[in-house]
Amino acid sequence: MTFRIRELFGCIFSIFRKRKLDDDFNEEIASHIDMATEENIRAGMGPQEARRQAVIRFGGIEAARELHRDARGLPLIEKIMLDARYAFRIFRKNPGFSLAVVITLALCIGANTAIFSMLDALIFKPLPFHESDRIFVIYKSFYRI
Amino acid sequence: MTESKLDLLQGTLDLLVMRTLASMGSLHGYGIARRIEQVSGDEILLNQGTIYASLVRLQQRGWISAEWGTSDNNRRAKYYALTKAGKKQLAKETANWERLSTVITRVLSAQGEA
Repeated sequence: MTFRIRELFGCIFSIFRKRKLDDDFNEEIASHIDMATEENIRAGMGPQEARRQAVIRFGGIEAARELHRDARGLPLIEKIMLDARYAFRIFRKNPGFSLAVVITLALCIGANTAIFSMLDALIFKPLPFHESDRIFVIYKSFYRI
Repeated sequence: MTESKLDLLQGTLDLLVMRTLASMGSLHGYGIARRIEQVSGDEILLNQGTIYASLVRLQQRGWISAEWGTSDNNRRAKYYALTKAGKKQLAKETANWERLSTVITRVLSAQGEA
């Protein structure tokens, strides 16, 4: 189990070293493709074809970057952070729209809370008396004969 | 040709990478990918790039270590090696895999007798 804890710390740590880890991985990809190209040239391909084949064998470079990022970090939390940052940017770009949204939400939530508080006090909560279910209202009603 | 290659099961690439490092000592990502392709007789469909997700995961779990070094023809490359914890884990996972594959083979071949 200790490796899970280790891994978690590694993942958290790597979120804060994104730039360095990305650079590191880019260098690693370049070195991989260079080595593959060299081997292909030794096998008798022209330099251009050798490089092309090396890239094909590697599979999608961007896909590999994404896999690498997901494996080393906490993809869910990073995605949430990205979304939050995006939302914040959009809000700042459209202050009028943001204000309208905030006011709409505030009014709706406020109105709901007010109505619920009233209903809660009047209907849902028991009356503040001992054995309140034994309290009756007595009144007279007249029927038409 | 490509269609007849095997897709790797989830999680088995980690095992293959550890096994390769156990038998080859210290090796870079490209070397590991090539070695897996060769040993498998080119039967495994491997996008070489996916090996790096495996490597970073194993590294974070403390099963392999990584270090930049220079290759035979003076190229900079990141070299990976199995750690002590990694050796233990490899033994455990190999046993696990053998057990699983034996059971599955047994179940699959029992079909005819019933």
